This record gives sequence, structure tokens and C-alpha cells, in this order.
Amino acid sequence: MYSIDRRSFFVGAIASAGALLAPQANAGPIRIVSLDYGLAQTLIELGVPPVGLVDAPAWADWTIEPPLPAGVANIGSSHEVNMELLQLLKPDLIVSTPYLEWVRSQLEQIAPVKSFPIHALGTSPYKPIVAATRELGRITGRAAGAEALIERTDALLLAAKEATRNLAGTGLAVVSFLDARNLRIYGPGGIFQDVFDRLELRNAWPKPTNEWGFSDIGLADLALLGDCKLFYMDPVPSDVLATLSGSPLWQSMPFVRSGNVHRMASVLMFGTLPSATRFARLLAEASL
Amino acid sequence: MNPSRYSPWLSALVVAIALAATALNLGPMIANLGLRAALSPPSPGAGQAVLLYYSLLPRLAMACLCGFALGLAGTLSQQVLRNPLASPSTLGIESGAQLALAIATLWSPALIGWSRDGTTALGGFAAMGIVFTVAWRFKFQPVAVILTGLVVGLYCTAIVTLLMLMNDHYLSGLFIWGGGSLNQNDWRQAASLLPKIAACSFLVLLMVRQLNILALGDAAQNLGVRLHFVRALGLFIAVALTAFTVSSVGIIGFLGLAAPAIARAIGARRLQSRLVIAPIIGAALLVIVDQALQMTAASLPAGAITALVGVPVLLVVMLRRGASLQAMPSHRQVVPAAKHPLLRISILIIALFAVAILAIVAGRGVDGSWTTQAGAMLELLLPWRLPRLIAAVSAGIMLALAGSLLQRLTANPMASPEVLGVSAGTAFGLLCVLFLVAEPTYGDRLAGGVAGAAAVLLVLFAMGRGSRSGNRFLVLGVSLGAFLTALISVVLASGDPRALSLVSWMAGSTYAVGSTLAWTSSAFALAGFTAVMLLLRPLQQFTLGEASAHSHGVDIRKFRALIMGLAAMLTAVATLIVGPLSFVGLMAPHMAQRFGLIRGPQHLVGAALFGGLLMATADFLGRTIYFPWQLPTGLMATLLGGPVFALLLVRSRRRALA
Repeated sequence: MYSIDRRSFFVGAIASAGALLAPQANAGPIRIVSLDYGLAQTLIELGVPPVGLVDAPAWADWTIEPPLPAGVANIGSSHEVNMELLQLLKPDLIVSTPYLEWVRSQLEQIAPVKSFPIHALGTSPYKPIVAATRELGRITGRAAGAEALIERTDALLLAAKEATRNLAGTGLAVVSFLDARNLRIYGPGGIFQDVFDRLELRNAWPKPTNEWGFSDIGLADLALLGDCKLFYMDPVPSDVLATLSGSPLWQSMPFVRSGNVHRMASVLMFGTLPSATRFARLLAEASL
Repeated sequence: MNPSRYSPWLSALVVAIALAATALNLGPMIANLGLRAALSPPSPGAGQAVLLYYSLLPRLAMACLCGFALGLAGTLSQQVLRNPLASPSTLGIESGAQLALAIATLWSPALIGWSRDGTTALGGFAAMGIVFTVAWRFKFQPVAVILTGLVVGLYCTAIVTLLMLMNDHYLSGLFIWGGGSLNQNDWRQAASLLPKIAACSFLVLLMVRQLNILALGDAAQNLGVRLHFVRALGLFIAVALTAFTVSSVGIIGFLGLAAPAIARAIGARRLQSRLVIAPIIGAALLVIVDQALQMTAASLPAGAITALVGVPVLLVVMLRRGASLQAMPSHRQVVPAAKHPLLRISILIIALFAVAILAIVAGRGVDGSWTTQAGAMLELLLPWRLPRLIAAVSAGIMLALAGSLLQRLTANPMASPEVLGVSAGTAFGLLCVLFLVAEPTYGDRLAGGVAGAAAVLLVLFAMGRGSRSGNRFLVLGVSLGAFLTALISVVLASGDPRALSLVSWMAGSTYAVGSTLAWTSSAFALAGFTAVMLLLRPLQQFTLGEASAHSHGVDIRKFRALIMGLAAMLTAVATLIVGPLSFVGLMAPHMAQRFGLIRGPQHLVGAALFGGLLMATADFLGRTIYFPWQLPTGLMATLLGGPVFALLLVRSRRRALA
């Protein structure tokens, strides 16, 4: 486990604004800016939190774990990174995903760019995530930390597998409500399915999903699930639950009639190992 | 134009296809479960029967209701505004509704908890309120109403796009809604929509006579009809119909434009017949699309698909039957020409330079405080400030020139580069690149965009060759634009993360502009400006009307093609930089005119300077005002230009009255 002391040291170093512009800042620990939430999760776990992150304020609503250290600069949206601020942060390295490849030449004027393909590779994302974790460990000089993180994840998933044995018999479904009539259901190609596979649980959704591991469907399509346990993920639009309770269609769904509908806290669907363990832990808690 | 008689067979055919599609989709299920299952509430456990009774049948009913309402709303607005391009979307209602939904989702979820329909309807009526307030000053003149409606619509869309870009995690539901989803959970929505639409239809029935007189134009005033009252009431009903529909199923916009046009093209000329035929065609079209979508089992948004199907139908019908497109009467605002035009041009030049210098030296520090940079620090930051500024100003100039050209050529004050559909073509080309190339570079995107723009141009020129009027050309452009936009919204609604980067470009983000592109675009702007100046004399003959141009020995056809080509090239280059959504091309020429720069060269220089000034200001504010977030320049220009535009409109009006 990373030590609390080390983390607070980094937080302190980053929080002191003066250090940001001082020339000797480059002599300290490697300064990384992350243009992706998932990579930032891994960096925080490795004990090298990024100095800058896209859309930092929304972290607490969507990613949650691990908590974002105070003082991580918000560098704007991933669609339009604030290049000036990025320049002023003087990073040693920018980590990113292939979706920002089109501005690579701009980013490279500021610092070397390392891009990590994880999603939409035609495979499940788990292996690419493990590879990215090792690579990040190597780059930051924390290869041992990366191995420890991978082993810790394996152990946590194994523990979650034991804890979720009473879910093994029934099919499970994970959805997010877009509104009361449309929702997103998760399947092969995403980390939720990977966790299901590791925990030897069965996804009740019978159809294929897109290359990111989800499908946008109508409420009526949920009839395809049959009797199962349905988890709907936070955040839920505020009119959805009230509308559903008055809908005969929803009320007639087998999982509603058998009372197998559960709310689940938000898990970053494009996350890395910390998201996988968070999802597994929430499943285990729900199976109690 | 040969006056064709209305034949009921064609509309019967459309209805028959709708019925056949329904029978094909729902027939087997009903046959299986028995007719009783379709007519009475099933027991909660009966899966298939519940699905039929509480999802598929209400969905069918909603398709009928919404299609009917939009067809009626479109017919009404086209009658009131005497313009075949008028539709509920042209009045800004849909965008207003979408903006209300976005704002409520982000900042006041309780409002949605109270009533999602109420919230969106509120937005629709608010947009209409703004349009009406302005239109009132202009006695509801058709052109003024549409112009204001378009501006309000673009304005709301601009804000929605900004909100989406900064809150992409939270607003995925808005994409679905934007694509128009007919999914139903029970009969509640249909039951609440039916009486509203029935009441509106009844009101329309009562005012058929007055509406008929409106077609006479301002001459109707002499017949003792209170013109503004009838226009206002007609538009109000159209807006109400749209807002009710939009708030329950989302944007199914193109139907309101297509259904009345198809009704007219198949021969329904009299208002009475159009008021019946257009809603029926609207309902039938929506049913066909929705039932077909259900059969393909793909989860695609019905609204966007309707547009994809509706646009080609509209084009084919229009081209084959030679639909009557009454040319829009051009109401040129009387603005006195400035006494010292050179002084005014100097003021604009000084303003442009002042803003440009500010945009280069001023910015924010790491802690967010305002500072000015100089020396080595400025040198470090210059690559992030100068290229985007140059590119934005060049794009503004090019769009303004393109807008001036089109407005002169067509004698239509609504003509703008966006109307040509070239910007939508650019967007489509970019979309193809995003999905075909795994990791597209900036060069790939540029190539895709240019290819898309060129394709639209080719289609426009191929189809427009036989057209006689400039307005016909505009309708083709608008349709093409709507088609491509719909295609894009299908992709957006699919939730594909790549589509968001398209949204970012559409919003007019200049952050990937490097120095090469900056200098290239400034060269284009300069070349374009020179070319326009050289073409000034024949252009002025055009402003006086085609007949006059002809008598002055201008080869109209060749000249029109030349101007169209030039305008389209300028648009394509500019659109690649600032996206298709900024409506600088529409606003800048009007601004120059209201500023008192009216005659030939003064007007073009003034328009170009206003275009550049808008973009420079947008660039500076977009970069700094909501630091560290970067607001896209194209959208900022829209947000800035809207109020300035409205102010100039109102001010010049007052001066004209004085």
C-alpha cells in the first residue's frame, strides 16, 4: 500500500503555488498531466498524482475512488485542453488516450506525450489496463508499485468473488438511466463485464454491445433480461424514479415484480484497476 | 410552373404505406396475442401483452399525434410567414426547449422532477416570447420574424452546445432527446398530449378564413383584417403545438418543414386542403419511420432518422413537381447612409487592432488571476495565442464576405454561408474521417472536411443548374444541410464517445490551429477579399435585380456560378477553422448595414471588419472569461453577436421611424 505520508508530501508540494513556476520544480518528482480520468486513477494509486487533470471538479461525482488529492489543477475539458495553463504547469510528461491524438503535435510542444490505448480495441479492456498500469509504473519509476497494484486488485477481486457467491445463480444487469424512457446497459467490451467474468457472474443482457461495452436502449428492451438482479447506477435524473413507479411497463418487469432492483453508486465506466475493484466491492456489498 | 390539381391518391398512398408498415411490425404480435390484448389492459405478469399495450401501442399513438401536430404547426407557420422555409425550427422553439432542458438538468434537477414536459415547454415559449417581442416591433413582417427566430434558435443551440462540452458526463440524455426518441412506458404521455393538440387544431379550424386572407400580404390590411393579431395568434398556435410535441418526444424538427412542402407539392394548394393533408402526411411519415426502425431492431433516434428520410423525399418531390416557391419579399430596412463612411471604417479598424493587441498580451495566471504578459513569458505563450487569433479573424472575414456575396446574389437577407449547407458538408466529411481513421491527425481531419465541403458543392451545382431562382438554390442548400446535420445527430445519439470531439469542432474550437494553418487561412482571406472587390461592379448590378444585371450585359448564369463558388470556398475554409455553428456570415453584413455602411465597397469592407472584430473578441473572451475552461471561438462569436445584432436591429428601426 502506498503510504499516507508520501501522498501528503506530494499534495503539499503541489499545493504550494510558488513551486509551480520556480525553475527548480523540474528537479523534484516527475510532473505528469493526465488528459484521462482512468490514467489519473492509476497515477494516484502509484503515488504520483497528476499535477493537472481535465475536468477535475467532476471527479468527485463520477470517479470517486481514489479521492483526488487537493491542488490538482483543472486544465479544462478534454475537448479543449487549456494549452496556456498546460504550458504554465511545466509538465515533464502528458499522458493521454488515442482520442486526443489529433492535438498531439500541439501537446508535444509542451512536453512528451504518451498515449495509452485501452478501449475500443476489439477486446475486453482488462488486459490493456494491466499493460497501461505496468507502463505507467515503469515511466514513473514505480514498477514495483504497479505490480503491487495489480496484485492488490487480483486479491480484492478474488475476495469479491467469495463475497458474491450468492449472486452467482442469477443473471445481473447494470444500467444507467438517461431519462425515464431511455437507458444505457453495460456488456462485453467494458470493465463491468470484465469484473463479471473475473467474479464468475452472469450478465443477463443477451445482446451484443458497442465497442466501448454499452448499448443505449429503450425501457421496453429490458423485458429481454427476464428475471434477474438489476443495478441502476448513480446519478439518476430526478424525474426517473417517480415516473417509473407509475409505469405499468416497468412494474411488470420480472425483476421489478420480484423486488430485485438496486441502486448503485457511480463507477467510472472508462476507468482502470481502481474502478474494477470499486465495482466488485459495490457488488459484494449489494449481495449481503 | 404548371398548376397541378390535387390528387388524393398520393396522400392515400402515403397513409397506406404507414398502415402497411404498422401491420408488418405489430401484426404478428397482435395475431399471436389476440385482438383483445391490444384493446384492454393486460395482467401485470403477461410479458408480451404488457409490451404491446404499454409500449408499442402508445408509441404508435405518439407517432401519429406528434407527426400530426408538427405537420399542422409547419403549415401554420408557412402560411403566416408566407415562406416555404418557415417551420417550427425556424422560429427557435425547439432550440429554446432544448436549452431549458439542459439548464434544468445541470442546475435545477428539481424542476425536471416537477415536470420534464413543463420545463421544456417553458423553454419553447420563452424562445417564442423573445421572437415575438422583436417581431412585434416589425409588425410581424415575415422576414423579420424568421430572421429573429433563426438568430434565437442558433443562440440557444450555441449555449446548449457549450453546456454539453463542459458537462459531457451529465448531459448524455440530452443527445437522446435531441435525436427525438418515441419510446413509451405507458399511455400517460399520449393521454396528456391528445387534448392539447385537439384544442390547438380546433382553434385553427376557427381561424381558417382569416388565415386565408393573410396570403394576400400587406394588401389584407385594406380588407379590415387585423393583420398582426391574426399573425400573432397563428404563430402562437404553431409554437404551442411544437412545444407540446417537443417536450414529450424531443426534436423531430424536419417534419414541420417537410410535411407541408410535400402536401403542397402533391397538389394541395388551398389552405383548407393543406391544413388537412399536411398533418396527415406528417403523421404517416413519422409512423413509417418509427415502425421501420422498430423492425430493424436498431436503437436509433426516430427524430433524426425522420429528417434523413424526409429531406430526400422533400427534394425529389420539389424537383419533380416544380413546387411553387414564392420568392420571399425582400423588405430592405431603410437605414440612412453614414455621412462619413471613412470615419466609421477607421473606427472599426482601430477597434479590431485594439482587441487583437489585448488578445495577445492579456491572459490569466496559474491561479486564475488576470495578468498581462511581456518579454520571455509572452514569447512562451505566443504559440498558444497568436495562431488562433489570426485564424479566427481570417475566418470571420471570410464568413462575412461569403455572407455579403450570398445576400446580394439572392436579394435574400436570410442567405448566409450556413444556409448553403457547405458547413454541414464539412462536418460530414470530418465525421467520416473520425470513424474511418483510427487515430486521425489534424491533416486527416482537414482533408476530410475539405472533401465533404467539395461534395456538397458538386451536388449543389449539379442540382441547381436547372433552377431559375436564387431561392430555389437556398432551399436545396438548407435541405442538404438538414440532411447532414441529422446524420450527425444520429451518431451523437448513439452515445459514441468519438462524436463528442465532433461537437467540439462544431462549436468552433480553434485550439488545434497551428501557425501554418493560421497563415494559410489569412492568405485565403486576403485573396477572397481581393476577388470580391474585383467583382464589385457586376455585383452591384445584381443588387438592383437580375433584370437590371442582364441589361447591363452581365452573363447571369456564369456570374452566379462564379459568386456561388467563391462564397462556398470562403465558407469551407472558414468553417474548418471556426466550425459550422457561428453565424457571423449572417450577422456581419447586417451589422455593417445598420452601422450606416451601405454602398458597395464600404459595405463589403465594413462587413469584413465586423466579421474580424467579432471573431477577435470571441477569441479573447473564449480564452479568458471562464478560465481554465476554454470556450470555443465559434460559439463565443455567436453569443457575442446575438445581442449586438438585436441591438442594431432595434436601434436602426427607431432611427428609421424618427
